[in-house]
Amino acid sequence: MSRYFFYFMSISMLIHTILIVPRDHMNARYDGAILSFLIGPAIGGVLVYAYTRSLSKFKGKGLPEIAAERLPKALSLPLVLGAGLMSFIAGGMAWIHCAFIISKYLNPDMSPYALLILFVIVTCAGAVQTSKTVLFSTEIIYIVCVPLLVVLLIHGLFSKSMNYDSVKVMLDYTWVMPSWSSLSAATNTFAGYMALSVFNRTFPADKQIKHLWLIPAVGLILELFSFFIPIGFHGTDGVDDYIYTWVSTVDAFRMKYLLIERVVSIYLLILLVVTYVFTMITWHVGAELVTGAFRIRPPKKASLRTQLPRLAVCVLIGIGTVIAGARFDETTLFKASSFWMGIRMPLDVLIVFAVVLLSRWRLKA
Amino acid sequence: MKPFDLHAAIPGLMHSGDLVSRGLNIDEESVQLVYLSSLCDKQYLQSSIMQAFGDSSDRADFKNRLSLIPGYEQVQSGDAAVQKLLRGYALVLFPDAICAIESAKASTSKPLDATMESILQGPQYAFSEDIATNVQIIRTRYPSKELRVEYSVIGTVSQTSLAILYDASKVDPDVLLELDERLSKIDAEVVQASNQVQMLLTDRYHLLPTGLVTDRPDRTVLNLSQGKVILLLNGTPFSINLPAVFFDFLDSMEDVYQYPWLMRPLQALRYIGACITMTLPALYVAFVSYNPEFFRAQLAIEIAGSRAAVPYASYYEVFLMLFLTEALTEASIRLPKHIGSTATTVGGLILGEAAQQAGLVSSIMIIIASSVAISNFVIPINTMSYAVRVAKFPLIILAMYFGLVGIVTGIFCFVLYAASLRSFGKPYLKLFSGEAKRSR
Repeated sequence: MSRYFFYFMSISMLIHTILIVPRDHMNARYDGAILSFLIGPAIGGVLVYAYTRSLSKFKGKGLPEIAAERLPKALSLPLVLGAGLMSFIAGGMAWIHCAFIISKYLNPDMSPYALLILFVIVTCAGAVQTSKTVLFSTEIIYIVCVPLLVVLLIHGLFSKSMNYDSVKVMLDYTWVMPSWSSLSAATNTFAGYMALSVFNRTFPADKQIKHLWLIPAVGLILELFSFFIPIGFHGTDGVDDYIYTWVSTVDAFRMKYLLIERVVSIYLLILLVVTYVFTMITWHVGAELVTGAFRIRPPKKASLRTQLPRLAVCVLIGIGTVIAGARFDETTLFKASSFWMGIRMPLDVLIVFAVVLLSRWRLKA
Repeated sequence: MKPFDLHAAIPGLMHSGDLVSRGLNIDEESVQLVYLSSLCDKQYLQSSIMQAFGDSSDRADFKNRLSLIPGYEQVQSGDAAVQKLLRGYALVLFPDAICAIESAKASTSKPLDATMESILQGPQYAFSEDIATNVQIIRTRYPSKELRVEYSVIGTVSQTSLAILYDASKVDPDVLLELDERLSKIDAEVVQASNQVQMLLTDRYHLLPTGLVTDRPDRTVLNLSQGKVILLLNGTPFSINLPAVFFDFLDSMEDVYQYPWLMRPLQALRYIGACITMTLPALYVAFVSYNPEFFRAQLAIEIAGSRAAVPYASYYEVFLMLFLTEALTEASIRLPKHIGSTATTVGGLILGEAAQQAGLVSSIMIIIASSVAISNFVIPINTMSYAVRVAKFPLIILAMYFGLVGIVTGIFCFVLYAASLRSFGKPYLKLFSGEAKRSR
């Protein structure tokens, strides 16, 4: 089962590196973005390692059960509730970004809010499924989509328009101390491990998750790609002219012999379905954590009645997402997501620290 | 001598036209023979009961001789006796007891040709319509001491007999438990078809089938060896295989019989076919009405050019052509075989040329309609091909409103829905489920 861990980790890394993070890194490209690629995976790797190892001591239990067991209610409630809300916000953020991109490039006649409403409804339907259903569908979509994305990446890497001189120029700015926002953006790429607080229930207890070193390695490569390919295509200063750097970069790819000439169309559809999976996971985790904070445990067999509290939470957050999407424009959205990542990193560290402590403590009498 | 009280012995059956009731007398003592002439074998009655009667000297002797006949049982009067009569038993009424002797006519049902899932080189015969023959077929093909056969009845009125077969060493006991529970909940009056049993066993409002209905004994035996539970319903030449997952419905038996390198591409073809038949009409709507810029310019102009004569939006075209192809498929299933060829000829004329020349649909739409139909036919199991036929319409509606985004959403929902199904506790759509390959 531990392969599922890598699925949702890498889905989360993909979404962050292509949807949310690049803008922050592009803004900070002369101010230590590159060094943050080295520090970020290091911090992220340590957090992933600490979180998986301490959760593996709790057999088949999620964060709500662990917190309820070992902490007084005054502490466990804010911890679990906070973790759940963070997961919800991460998913909602991704949807608002995605709705803006899709309405800009794919459905220009359609208002982003109509799209956002569709996305949110489907995500709610996905999030209230059982954890296993979420993992199974994640696996299928992962296996279908990710190879295509990798092909696109490689295609971009060897494209003639890729100018490696700009990349070399950027390397001059390697040893600049990173700013908080670019560091937190680089670290947030690895935030997918938070999903383990729910999916730990479905993992068999006796098996440790192996090959954890893959995660910082892959994350590092993805971050470098998502940073240097746009710079290679647009030039060191040119990247500043685009809002969604990655999408504009992929729009410059051209497949000569494909029926579909502009690669960006395929890319956007894959991005959309990967975002569906990402938000389904985050909202599922959010719903389980928020309801779990109020001692509602997942039933053996899911039916509409047993999933009603989760659905209610998801619908509330969904309405919130649509309203937030209507309030934001692109400038405020990027500011908000950068601000959000800035405060999310210490919160993540706090939660991981709490769980590590809980796993070390003996069960209170 | 007091006459037998038939009313008390077999309540409700007195007025049946085919009820034969004869008094047999031995030295002042009498017994009554009752049977349904439509169900019982008269030759057999003659050679068993009448023979015994002729040889016996008194009533007690007759009773002893009857008890030596195979298929002899003592029953209570009332409903139990009526049930026996209705199953082709002959009853001999003694003053103090009722003896039932099995004398049903031998079934005339023979194995039929396998028509639902044809394969080129492999077993060619299907099941028969008789449950005993079917059990016999499976017993011969799977001579294992672990094979268990249990009988039960289903349908409050039809009382159709149902055989439950499984390999005791391989079956998952949870599946059996759940099957028992669900069988006991069925309260349908008349049950006559395997697909009906499958529907009654699973949720009525599922889109995708979660039990596999097949007429191939070899597929049934393969499933048996994989630890699945087989249901055989009397009166249908089909078996129901439980649990069944999504991938089972796209497997042909030939995949097992041929070299993998020959069959893998064909398997891939089937999956591609299933994808095409589901998404192609929706993709057409999305490409024509929403995102013509997706294709390279020549292709986009080509499509637009072929639509030049069409006076309405693309989804009218799609619905018109899909309605015609679906109606044609439906007509060729329902029509008597002799008229069936007429339907295809007439339909082919309309679909082929006339609709396009009249400017009602574009020529590309005709290609799409026919490829949708053909791709649908490559799905080996009929229930799944029905499901896929239905599933393409929500996709078209999503494409009408949201274009390509809608299609991706629809596919995501389909995957999610299929992954959320469980067939008797087994995940319906799960990759790498690690099914035993030894049986292949």
